[in-house]
Amino acid sequence: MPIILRLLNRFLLVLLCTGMLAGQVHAESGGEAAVKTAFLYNFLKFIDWPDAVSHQDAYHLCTTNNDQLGDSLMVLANKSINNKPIAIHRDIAGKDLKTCHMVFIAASENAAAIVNDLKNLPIVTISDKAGFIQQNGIIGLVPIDNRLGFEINLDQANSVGIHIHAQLLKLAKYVKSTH
Amino acid sequence: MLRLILIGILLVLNSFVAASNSSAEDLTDLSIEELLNVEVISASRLGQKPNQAPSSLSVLTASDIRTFGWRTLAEALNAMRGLYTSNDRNYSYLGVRGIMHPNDYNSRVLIMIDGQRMNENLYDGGYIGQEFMLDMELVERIEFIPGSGSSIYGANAFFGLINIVTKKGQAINGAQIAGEYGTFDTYKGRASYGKKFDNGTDVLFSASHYGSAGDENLYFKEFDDPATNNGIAHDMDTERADRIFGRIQYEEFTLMGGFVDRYKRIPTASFGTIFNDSETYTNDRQFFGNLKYNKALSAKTSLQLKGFYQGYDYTGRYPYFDETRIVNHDEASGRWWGGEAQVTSTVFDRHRLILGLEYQYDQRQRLLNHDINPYTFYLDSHSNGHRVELYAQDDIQILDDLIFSAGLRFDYHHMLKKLQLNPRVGLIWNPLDSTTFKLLYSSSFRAPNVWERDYFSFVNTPNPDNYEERIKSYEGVVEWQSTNGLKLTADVFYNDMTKLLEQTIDPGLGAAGPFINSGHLRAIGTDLEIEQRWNNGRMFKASYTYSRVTNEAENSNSAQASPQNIFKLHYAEPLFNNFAKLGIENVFVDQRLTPQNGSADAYYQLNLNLTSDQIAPGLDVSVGAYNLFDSHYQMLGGTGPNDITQNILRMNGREFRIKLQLTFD
Repeated sequence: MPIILRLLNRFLLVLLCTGMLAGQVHAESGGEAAVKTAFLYNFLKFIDWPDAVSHQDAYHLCTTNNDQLGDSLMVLANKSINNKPIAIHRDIAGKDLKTCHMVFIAASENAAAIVNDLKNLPIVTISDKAGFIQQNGIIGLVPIDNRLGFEINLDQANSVGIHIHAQLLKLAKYVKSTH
Repeated sequence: MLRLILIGILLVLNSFVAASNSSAEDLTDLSIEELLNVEVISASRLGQKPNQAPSSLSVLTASDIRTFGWRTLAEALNAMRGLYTSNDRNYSYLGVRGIMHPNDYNSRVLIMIDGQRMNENLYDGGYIGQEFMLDMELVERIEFIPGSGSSIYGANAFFGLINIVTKKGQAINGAQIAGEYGTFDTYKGRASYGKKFDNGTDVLFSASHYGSAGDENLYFKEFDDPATNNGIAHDMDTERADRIFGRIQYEEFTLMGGFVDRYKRIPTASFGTIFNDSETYTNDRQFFGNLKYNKALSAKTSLQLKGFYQGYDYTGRYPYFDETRIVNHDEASGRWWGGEAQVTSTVFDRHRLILGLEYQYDQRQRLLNHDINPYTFYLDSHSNGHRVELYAQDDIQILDDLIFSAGLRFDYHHMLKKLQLNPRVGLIWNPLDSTTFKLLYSSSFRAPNVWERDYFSFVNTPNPDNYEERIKSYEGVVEWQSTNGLKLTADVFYNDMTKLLEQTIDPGLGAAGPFINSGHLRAIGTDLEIEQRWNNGRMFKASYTYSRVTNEAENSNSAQASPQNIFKLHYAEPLFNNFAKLGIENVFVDQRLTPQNGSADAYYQLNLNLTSDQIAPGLDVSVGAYNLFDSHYQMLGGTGPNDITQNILRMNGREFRIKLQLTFD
């Protein structure tokens, strides 16, 4: 039935002419692990560590047991930020996390205890555990419908000398700050 | 020819030295703004980026289901590219790219819930109407892959496979009650509870009841005679369904189960029953339960183990007249269980390897038929046996922009004398971030089910010698995606189906005798789709499918139930500053040849659905108008009095539905 084809053609033409298809960013989809990994990568870009730890030759990204990030996390092994490679350390026990720049704490772990051990060190703690930033964690990943967003505990970040760029703060769903 | 291509590809392959390049999904190119808009999908068995998968995947999401107000899985599938549905006022049937085989309860399409096969072990039926296991509100995604699936999937993936991904409890996040009311005294109530707890445990429980009085008076001209109530079936379209579903996910373990019980009165006087006799009905009950264990063995290797137990029970009551009114009782009962182990690994550079072993024991496959009063026995057949499936697939990154996918599947099936070996190859080329080309070939089989093998009735004869049907599918796909979210897909396909199981059709009587491997169909065609989604929730999608199906066995240029053109247009628009959302659905299905050599007219259907979750906190309201132009569009009837006398069946006219859903924290 060529009429259908002709109709379709005309429809597409009209659409293209009216510019209806131009402009906005679209919504795509991805696996949970891949989305979380991409967030971790972006966070690294928008965070400055105090001089004492920023001179190291790589960003040390650590995860606890059960990080559930699968193969996805390994895509970061080949990446670098400002010519600095990313070193990935997985399944790291609590006491060995103190040399990391960023720690991803799995929802299944005892986040409060881990954060408590690290809370005086310039380490960006991240978790998808509910209420994470209320437990002195720095960045919480939170589900918003079927998307993922994040919350930032700016007070905690400031207290250990970690600088989070305004760009990131602006996009956070919630920023915990006494100022 | 294929062999030459394969050899060529292997030669090319050998000449490349592997370099490290993981094929895991990579979204790091996206900015934070973009990431905030990425829809997080549950890891399914498909588990890779669609544009790298060796298949042509289409997807519907929970938000689409809400926007367009699809009431059943059949209605949602009818919205997907290349699919169309039919209904004989007893069951719903699915057509794929111009092929819908009469006498088939969707046995040639694999229907899965979270990767678990739902096709039962008697008719191989995959149910999509009210007889389907899940409420649509529990569905997070519907994935459809046309063609003979992939080497990972089992034997029913003949015309295609459908995977229903269920929502996590987190998506419900609280207690939810929902009620709906619609035309023909149709109502439904549902209570659900879903939550993700601090220790990571995610739970979801849901139960629902559906009831519909149906059209009070259905007219069938074939029965327009004073002896048969002038062709009016009164109160004969009644339907009821009860459902329970639950899932608990804790760390690497997922325990899941569901049950559906559905009753449908049959108004069509099928199988020679007495017209307008209210005891004519079918009752389908199905359940499943499975326990899954997902473990990352290392950063590059993951393991999935699964055990399952499933069952299906059907009873049908068919009153007929033989000097006096006699009620025939038809029954089928199946139980099956098994397990599966699957390893996915990227330890070898530039390879993504999947290995799997699946086992199913068909513990019970019983078919029973007798008259109730006076008791006359006709059939009590029992079968059981093993199925073993072994598969391997390797997606090899030959070049940074070129993937060669090779799969092999090996099946032992107790209904078949021969072992089955089926290859699948695909070439996936991403010359640009925006553009993907795919070339795919696969073959598959379908074993006769016990109904086709053993069933015996007035018109059916068992055939212990029937054997597997075969399909070869060839497909070429181009996908293009602009940076602002415009997506274009073009597909060409060629399917060659041989040794299809057919019954002889006696003119004037209908299908009769044994199922023999006599059918041969060829389908050639194309699928085109354009889709755009905006951040504000606006969405536009149009698809067109052309298919030309020829019946090679009968040297005929046309095949039954095959519409040459299908056109769909979906448009959603947020209204009043996101206060509400309007979904507009347009479906055009071309005319179809009926089994009695007539024709069901082409039809166009317009459905509107308006939703709002802004009226009160936790309240979600939806108002739908289905088939707005009130057309009693035509679906296929049967082959004759042996199954369904009517050549075509007219569907319901305009219907309305209002739905309220309340969620508490």
